Amino acid sequence: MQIQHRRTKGQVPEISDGVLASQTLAGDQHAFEVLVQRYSTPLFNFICHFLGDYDQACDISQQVFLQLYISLPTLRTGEPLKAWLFQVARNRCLDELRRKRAIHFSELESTSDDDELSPLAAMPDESPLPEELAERHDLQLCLQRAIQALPPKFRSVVVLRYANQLSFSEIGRVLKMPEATAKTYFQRAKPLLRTALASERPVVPAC
Amino acid sequence: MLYFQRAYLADEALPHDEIDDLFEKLQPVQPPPSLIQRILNSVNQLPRHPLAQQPQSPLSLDSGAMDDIDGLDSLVVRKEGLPPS
Repeated sequence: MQIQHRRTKGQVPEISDGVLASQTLAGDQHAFEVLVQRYSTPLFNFICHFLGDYDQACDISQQVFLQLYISLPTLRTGEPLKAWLFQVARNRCLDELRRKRAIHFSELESTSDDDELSPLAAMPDESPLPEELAERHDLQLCLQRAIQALPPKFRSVVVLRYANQLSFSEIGRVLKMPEATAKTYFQRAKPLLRTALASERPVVPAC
Repeated sequence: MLYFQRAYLADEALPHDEIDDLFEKLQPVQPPPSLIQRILNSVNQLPRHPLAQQPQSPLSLDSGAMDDIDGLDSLVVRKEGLPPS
């Protein structure tokens, strides 16, 4: 009998996903809570940056973990849940994009200020920002818009890379593609990002 | 502002450019504090897993221990009239 622990740098060994999954199946709801705490923020980050919608990110995060709970009996408990969770999150995001596609085109002609789509717009901002903070805020909006300008298959790779800091090997596992393909998509996304950013920030020359 | 470490790029054989520099400044978006509880509340409304509904002895933490639990038999539909395989 072995207790599978995963050691993180500078921290006490933590219980593996597989053990937590087994405990959840046995009725330990606290074990599932640990899983939620472990993955909710990185998943939320991915979803929020992918969709550019803070409220949608909350809804989809909830859906992903519901799916996890329902699917636990069928998952292989010997492997980390990370890849599976991001796969489900990505698929849910794609579903949401398809659902909004018909609506999105009509919104393209609305105000060019897309703050209502930005996750930053959901953050309360009740006081005047110093100039430096305003510039940083503007940068976040620019980066988010550049991500939103990417086609979904590139967007997945870019968000996992920049927002979630996954290696290309991990990205390949999440997106079920060879590592080389993940790198290729990332490199192909770069000119698109450059163009999108250049339209807003002239200091970045377009290719 | 938080800036991500560039360590995750160090072992990758891709050239680092100004786009990487810009996106290193991409801030993480914090979920609302209520998200975890919201998730747990919705999960609590789901039926418990069949195994969790069975009274059973404390589990070992071995991932293979599930196979030893009699409660799993409840998931198997027995057809008593069939000959053994």
